[in-house]
Amino acid sequence: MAAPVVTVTPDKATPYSPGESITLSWTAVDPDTGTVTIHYEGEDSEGNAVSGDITINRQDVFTMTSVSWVGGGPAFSVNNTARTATSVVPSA
Amino acid sequence: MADIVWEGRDGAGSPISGSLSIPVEPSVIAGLGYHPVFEDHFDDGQLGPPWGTRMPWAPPLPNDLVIECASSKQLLIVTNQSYNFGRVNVHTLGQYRDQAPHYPDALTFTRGNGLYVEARISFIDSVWGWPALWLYGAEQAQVFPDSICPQLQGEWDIMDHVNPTSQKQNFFSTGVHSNTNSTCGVEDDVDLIHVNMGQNMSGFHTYAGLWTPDGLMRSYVDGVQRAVFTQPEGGGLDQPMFLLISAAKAPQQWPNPMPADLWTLVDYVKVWAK
Repeated sequence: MAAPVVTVTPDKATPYSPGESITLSWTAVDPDTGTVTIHYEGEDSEGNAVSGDITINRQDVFTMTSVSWVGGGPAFSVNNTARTATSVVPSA
Repeated sequence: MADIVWEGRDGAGSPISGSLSIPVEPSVIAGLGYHPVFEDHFDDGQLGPPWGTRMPWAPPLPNDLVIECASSKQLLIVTNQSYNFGRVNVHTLGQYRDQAPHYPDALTFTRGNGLYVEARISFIDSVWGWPALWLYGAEQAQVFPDSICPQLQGEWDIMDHVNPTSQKQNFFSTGVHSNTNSTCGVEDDVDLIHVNMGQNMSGFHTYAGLWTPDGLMRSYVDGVQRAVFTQPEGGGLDQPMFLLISAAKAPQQWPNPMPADLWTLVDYVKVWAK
């Protein structure tokens, strides 16, 4: 079984300010099964047929053990249930 | 940028790790609406664009005087006794060509709605050393040896380690020139401030300059303002400015022997604008 593909994402893309709160979140996707596709079919209020696909990532088991700033900085608080890690941004 | 490393384990207990970088505003301009326009941490091992070393009024630089170190991820600038010109500049004018304009790919900066320049620099612990972080008007360099008069030659020395005392290693020096070399028959109005920092400054420190639309030019060391100038009149600084980092031999003659090499070490450079 291959290791999950873990993607860690910050809560915004624009520059952070030193001292600002930051929350990272992560996903862990099974690389073997990758995604699951759900197909749906129905009809609208005028009786027209409507169908489509929804693709969702298949979550894999992953436990975050540590997150830290390179060069030192405030500690991260890790919440594996919520899949988040929170800290305060140090000076770059 | 600030770097984050993470470690975890999968369902079988095997370790997984990774890293990511996030953009972080320099503390001096945090929350003021500035955005990054240039940044280099010298990680590549080669001094690529926009950097260049040739000045139009100086001979080509010997190849061994500027080294970007991939292993340490730092830029090393060296001048030595065999280089007669004395000053070695690494600048954002890019590659030189004989035809004017000499630097078609120059990276320049203007005050605009606000300009912030920051670099983390270390330099040799010697009174013979003359490291500098500065901005210089590009128009003369582009057309040299032709004249650009009546345009004057502005210069902003964010860090200019040229204090003429034997205690210079304990000082932070910074200054502004209205018209370097008094071109066009107009005398240079130079304002140079020396701040006794109470410690040897040769180790790594963060030097920065903030130039705002009100004409104030502030100089910082490690995020603390140490000097403020009012932009001189005459328009010398109202032109595209290029960034330089230098290693040079001090203009003063000191009694002790000059070291064989005088060096400046640069960890990173970043420029933000508003």
